[in-house]
Amino acid sequence: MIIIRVTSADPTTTPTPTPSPARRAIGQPEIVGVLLLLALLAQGKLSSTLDSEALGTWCTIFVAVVVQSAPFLLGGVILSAAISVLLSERVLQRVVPKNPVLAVPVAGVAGIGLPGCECAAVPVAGSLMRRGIAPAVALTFLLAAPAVNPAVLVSTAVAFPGQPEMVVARFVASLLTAVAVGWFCLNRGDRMRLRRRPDPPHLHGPGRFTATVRHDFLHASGFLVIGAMIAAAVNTFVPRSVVDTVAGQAVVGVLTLALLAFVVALCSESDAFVAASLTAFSSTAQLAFLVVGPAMDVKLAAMEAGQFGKAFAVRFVPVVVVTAVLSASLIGWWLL
Amino acid sequence: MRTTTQGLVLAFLGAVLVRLSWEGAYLHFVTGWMRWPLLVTGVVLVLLAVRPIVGGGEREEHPVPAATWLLLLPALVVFLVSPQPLGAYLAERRADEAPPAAPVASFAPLPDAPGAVPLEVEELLWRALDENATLAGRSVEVEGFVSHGEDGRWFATRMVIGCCAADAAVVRVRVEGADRPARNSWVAVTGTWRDGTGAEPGSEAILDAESVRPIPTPADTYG
Repeated sequence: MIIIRVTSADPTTTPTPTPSPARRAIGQPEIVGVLLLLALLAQGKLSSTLDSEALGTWCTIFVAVVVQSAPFLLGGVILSAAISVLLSERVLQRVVPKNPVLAVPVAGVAGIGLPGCECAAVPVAGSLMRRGIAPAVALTFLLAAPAVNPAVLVSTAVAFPGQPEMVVARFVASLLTAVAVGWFCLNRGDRMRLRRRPDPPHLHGPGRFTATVRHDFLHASGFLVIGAMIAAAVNTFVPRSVVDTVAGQAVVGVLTLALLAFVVALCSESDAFVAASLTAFSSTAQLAFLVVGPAMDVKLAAMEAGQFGKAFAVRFVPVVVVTAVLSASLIGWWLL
Repeated sequence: MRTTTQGLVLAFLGAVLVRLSWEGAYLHFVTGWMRWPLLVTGVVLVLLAVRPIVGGGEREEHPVPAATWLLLLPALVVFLVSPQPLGAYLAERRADEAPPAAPVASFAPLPDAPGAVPLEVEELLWRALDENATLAGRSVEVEGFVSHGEDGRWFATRMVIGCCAADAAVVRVRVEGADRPARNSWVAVTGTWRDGTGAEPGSEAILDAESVRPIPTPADTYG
């Protein structure tokens, strides 16, 4: 039973500033094409005028986040297109338990099987919903997959040598966050205002697979770029030492590192190294950094607003962050 | 965004990714193993763009959000600015952050070869922390770029990354006894570790230089 109310299934999604074909005087593709050609010719002329060190650093980190995410995002949309095209609703319904209360923890554990960056998980969760999986179950998978897969756990073990309890605590706290949010969405889902995008229009026949991949990639990548811009700005202009002043305080320390994890938007395979370098903070605060980051950050929030609607994102984001902080504090107090 | 434009945007991003991985500039942003995933991603994006560009105009429009326009930005930045690897600017801003933890608890002695032993800056810092004092009295050579500090101090510096430049950490050793080279220039420093420096977490390791020679910027500055 799907409890989450799906608001307007508007096929046009967000309105674009694109002029309608009837009114267009000069073709948009031609304008973009000419601009790209100009860029080609201007290459090298501009690089000398943009020589500010800070701006250069921002550019490097911004491009780095996009370049690092692009293969994972493409992999994610190919996987989600494969789910849409190959997996019938009947097959999925046989694999996933009928009772959504049970299906939520199953989806959380299933996250172990998708060793990828968090940006891959967003389109996959979207396509699972399109295939009739209860939204709460798909969202649990979305939260668990980037946090509990083997690649992330191994990198955590490497970053915290001699502290295997950090790996265990991360696994438990992340899984707990995903399952708790999943159950919350089952219970209160009617208030989450999830907007489910319908299948891309007119995608049938032989070109359907590539059309779905292209459509999903274009849909998600713009929001990834927004997240990357913000994350690069924080990484460049906010020295991490400003957060050290509150490192001594238990509660403020946890909240500070949770906020830091949200704004710096690191990929979950490398965030453990950054957490380990925040030595001034308590282990519980470091754990909060590791649990919040893969579950929710500025890049994911932007992508989820694109995939599931702004109204959903403004409700879902705080729920996830609060749950992740509580779960990390509880597990940190217990295990660390 | 019209369907043909969508194709152009995809093809442009794909072409930039192919070029980055082909020419090696991808190493300014990510680690070495990303080369082939990036090349494949770029090629697939270009292939995905063929149909909307070639047969696009007359076909059904597939609306995408306005945010998709932003996809042009990273490709344009690569194209117009050619961002360089992270250097002294970020290293100096992040100087007071702790370097990554050592992967092993204690290190084997340095090889018993004549002359200076080549070491990564990172390993030099780890060995300085090691109780076994494997650096004591040995001549070592480290390579890094020059970052500056207060009072004319300077450091042989590396940025190390786990995934991409967003998670870069600074590792640096202070060089004493040699004139300060230009910021961001690459040098090979031969010298001996000043006993006891950098042995506490948070303290500065010092290398007493015997010689400093300029070297070309390596292809992978983070590696």
